[in-house]
Amino acid sequence: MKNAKILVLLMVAVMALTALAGCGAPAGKENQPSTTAAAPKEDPKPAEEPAEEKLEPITFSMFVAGPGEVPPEDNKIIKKIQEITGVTIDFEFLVGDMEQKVGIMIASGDYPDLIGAGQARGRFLNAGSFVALDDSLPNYPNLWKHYEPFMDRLRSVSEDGKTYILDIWSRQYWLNDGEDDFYEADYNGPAFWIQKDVLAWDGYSYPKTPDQFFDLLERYYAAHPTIDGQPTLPFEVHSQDWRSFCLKNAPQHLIGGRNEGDVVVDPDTLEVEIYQNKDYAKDYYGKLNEAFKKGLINPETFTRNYDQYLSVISTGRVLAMFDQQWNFQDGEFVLINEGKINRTYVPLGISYSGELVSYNRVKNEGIIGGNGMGISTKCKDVERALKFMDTLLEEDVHRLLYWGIEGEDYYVDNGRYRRTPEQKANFDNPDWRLANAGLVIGDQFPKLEGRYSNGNSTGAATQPEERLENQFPYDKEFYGKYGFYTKSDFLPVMEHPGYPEVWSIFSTMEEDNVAKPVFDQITDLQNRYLPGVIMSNDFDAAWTEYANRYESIDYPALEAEVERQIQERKTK
Amino acid sequence: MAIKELSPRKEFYKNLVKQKELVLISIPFFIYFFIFSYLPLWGLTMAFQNYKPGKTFFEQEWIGFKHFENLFTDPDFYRVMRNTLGMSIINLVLSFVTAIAFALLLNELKGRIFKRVVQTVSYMPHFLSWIIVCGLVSNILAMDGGIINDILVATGLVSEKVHFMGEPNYFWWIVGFTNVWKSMGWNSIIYLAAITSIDPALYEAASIDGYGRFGRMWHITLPGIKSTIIVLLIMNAGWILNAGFEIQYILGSNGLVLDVSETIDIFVLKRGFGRAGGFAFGTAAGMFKTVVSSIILVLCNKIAGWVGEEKLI
Repeated sequence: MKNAKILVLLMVAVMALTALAGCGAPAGKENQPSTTAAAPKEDPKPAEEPAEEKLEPITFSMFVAGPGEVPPEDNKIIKKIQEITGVTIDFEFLVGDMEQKVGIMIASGDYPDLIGAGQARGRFLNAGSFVALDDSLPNYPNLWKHYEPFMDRLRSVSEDGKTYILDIWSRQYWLNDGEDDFYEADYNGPAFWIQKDVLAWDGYSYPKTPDQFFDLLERYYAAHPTIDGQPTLPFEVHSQDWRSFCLKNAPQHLIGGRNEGDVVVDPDTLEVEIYQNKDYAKDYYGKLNEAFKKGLINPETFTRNYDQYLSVISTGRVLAMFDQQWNFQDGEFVLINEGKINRTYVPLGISYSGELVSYNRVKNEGIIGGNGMGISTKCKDVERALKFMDTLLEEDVHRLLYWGIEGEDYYVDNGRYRRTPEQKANFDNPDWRLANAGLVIGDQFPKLEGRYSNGNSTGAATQPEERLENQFPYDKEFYGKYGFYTKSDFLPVMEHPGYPEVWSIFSTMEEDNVAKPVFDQITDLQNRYLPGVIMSNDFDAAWTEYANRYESIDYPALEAEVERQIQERKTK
Repeated sequence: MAIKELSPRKEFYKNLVKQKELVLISIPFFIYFFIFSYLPLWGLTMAFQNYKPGKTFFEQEWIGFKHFENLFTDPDFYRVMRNTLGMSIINLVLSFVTAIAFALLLNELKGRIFKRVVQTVSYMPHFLSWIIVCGLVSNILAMDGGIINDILVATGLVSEKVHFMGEPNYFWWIVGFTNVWKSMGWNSIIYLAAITSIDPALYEAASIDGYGRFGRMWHITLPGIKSTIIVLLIMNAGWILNAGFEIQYILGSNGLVLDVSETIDIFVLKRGFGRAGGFAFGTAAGMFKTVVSSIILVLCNKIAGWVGEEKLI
C-alpha cells in the first residue's frame, strides 16, 4: 500500500517536471533572440575598450526571398568583413514556396533584422514590415551618394511615399572616358537560350524566327539523338511555381516587347493588354505543340522540379530553352566547371517578324525602385545596419566582395586588376566561391556597379582585359565568327521606354487592389492549362477551352489598373 | 451511509481531497491541452472577420459568414473536396485491406527469425520522411531512367515509356500505393498484437473440426480481431478529410496533375498563405474541415454501436 502511494507521488512529480519542461521551452525560445543579441554586445566590451574605433560585434539575421546558399563560417572574405565592420550576417535563403513562407512570416510578425524582399516586396511593404529610411539616409555619405539621384524611384513603390526598400542592383558608376561600353555586364535576362554547339554545328547560323529556331533544333536532334550517352532534350519548358515565366513570357518578346511580366505595353499610347489569350500567344503555344508532337519537347519537362531542371541542364543535353540566364546559371556553372564550354548558352533575339529584337537588353536608367532589401521593424539596431551598408559601398570593401584579396584572388598590374587563369578557375567554381568569396554578401546589399574611380571594373567578370584574355578559346573563336565581343552582343540594345518594368508594378501592388485576385486567377489558370495545351493531340480544341476559361476572368480590370499605375510612374 | 448526509458541494470537496493525487496527476495535462488545444481555438474567430494582420482583435471588421459563402461558391472547393475524398477512400481501403492481409499472412509464417526480418523490413519505410519517399517515387517512375519504365519497355508490356507523373488518371493510385508501401508494415503491427491474444484452443478446436489454414484464418483469426478492426476503422474514418499533404504537394504541384492532386489541406495553405489577405478564408476552410471530420467521427461511432461492436467514445 505504502509502496503504491510512493509510486503515485513519484509519477506525479515526474509528470509535473516534464510538463513544466514542455511549457518552459517556448517561453525560453522567445527570449533567445534577445539574449543572443545582447550577449555579444556585453562580452567583448571590456577587452576592446582601449581601441575605440573597433565596433562591437553584432549579428544581423537576414531573410532573402530568393534562392541561395549559406556560406561557411570560415569564408575568408566574410571574416574580413567581420573584422572591418564587426557585423555578421546570419542568412536564411528561401526554400520552397515563397508566397507561403512570406505569408507565415507576415502573419507571425516574426521578422529577421534584414529582409531581401525580392519578388515578395509588395507583401512586405503592405504589411508594414520595413522601417522608413528617409530621415537616416542623408547621414550616411556613401549610401546618400548612391541613392540621392534616385530617391523619387525608391519612394514611388510605397503608398505613403516613404523609402522602405533600398535597391541592390542597377546603380551604375561610369567614368565617361569613352570606354564604358566595354564594362557592361553579360546579359542574364530572358531570351531563347541555345547551346553554342548547336549554332556552331549549323555553320554559325543565327535563327531569327521561331520556325527557323525549332527547325534547327530538329535537325540537330536528328543528327545528335544522344549527348554523352544520354538522350538529347532539344527544348525544355520549365513550369514550376513562380518560375513558370519560362513557360509563359516568350510571346511578349516575340512581338518585340521588353519583359513586362504578364502584360504587354504599347510604347506609344502606354495602353496595356493581357497577352496569354491573344493570337500571338496562340501561335507560340501552337509552335510548342508542334515541337512536342515531333518529340522535341520531352513530356517530363512539365513535371521536373527546379532542382531536376538544373540537373538536366548541367548534364549538357538540353539544347535550348526560353528562360532568364540567372535562373539556369547554376546548371551552366557546372558545365563551365567541367570544361563543356560548347554546351553553354547564348541568347537569341528571335521574333515573329524575323527582325532581331532586344528581349530585355534595355539601356540602363539606374535604379528602378523596389528591387532590393529593407530593414525590418524588428531590427535590433537600424543605425548599425545602415552603417554596415554604408561601409560596403566603400571601394576598398566592395573590392573585397567582388575581387577578393589582392595577391590571393587577383593581382594588380600597372593599376589594372588582373587574375591568373588559376585564380579565375577558382572563382568559376561554385563550391570555391561559396567558401572563399564575398559575393554572398555583396549580392544581397547595395553595391557599386560599373567602374571604380581608378577605372577598373567593379567586378572581375566585367574587366575588359580579362574578358578578352581569359575568355575560353572556344568562346573567343565562337564569338569571333559572329564578330561579337560577348554573348550580350547577340541581342540589340533597346532605348529605355521611360516607364518601369510592369512586373515591378505587380509585385508592389497592395493586397486589396482590384487587380490582385485577377492576377492570381490568371496565374493559376495559365500554370494549370498551358502544359496540357502544349501536350494536347487536338491543339485547337485545347486552346479554345483554355481561351474560353480566360474569358470568364475579369482581366480588363487588371489591364486598367496597370495602365493607371504606369501613368503614375512614367518618367517621360 | 455517511456520504448520504453530505450536501453535493461538500461531497465534491471531500472527493477532491480524497483524490488529491489523481487531481495532481491531471493538472499537467489540463495545462497542456488548455495551451495547445483550447487557446488556439480563439483564432477561429478570424473566419468571421475581414482579418488584417497587424491590427488588434478589436479593430478587426466582423463580416459574419461571408467567407463561408465564398468557400461554398468557389468551384475550386468542390474540386479539392472530390480529390480529398477520392484519395482518402483509396488510401483507407488499400491500407486497411493490405495491412490486415499482411498481418494474417505474417501470422502464418513458421520461422521466427524470418518472420521478424520480414516484419522489420516492412515497417522501416514508415520512418522515412515524405520528401525522401517522394524523391524515390519520382525516380522510380521517371521516364528518363526510371526502373519501372525500363522494365515495362524491356518486357514489351508497353511500347512507349509511360509518363506516370504527368498523367492525371494515375495520380490518386500513385498516392494510394505509395501510402501502402510506406505504412503497410507499421499498420499491421497492431493487428499482429491483436492476433496474439486469440485463445490457441480455438485453433485446435477448428483443426479438429476439419478446418484448413484458410478456414482457420477466416473463421478464427478474422473474427478474433474484428473489434480491433472496427475501432481502427472508426479512428481512421475521422481522418477521412486528411488525404495527406506532403505527397500531393511534392509530387503533384505541376500543371498537368494539379487538377487531381490538390487536397483540402493544400487548398487551405494556398489560399490562407499563398494569396494576399487569405488568412481568414483559409481559417474558414480549415474550420469547415474540422466540423465535417467531427460529424463523421460521431456518426461512425454510432454505427459501430448499432452493429453491436464496442464504441470508441
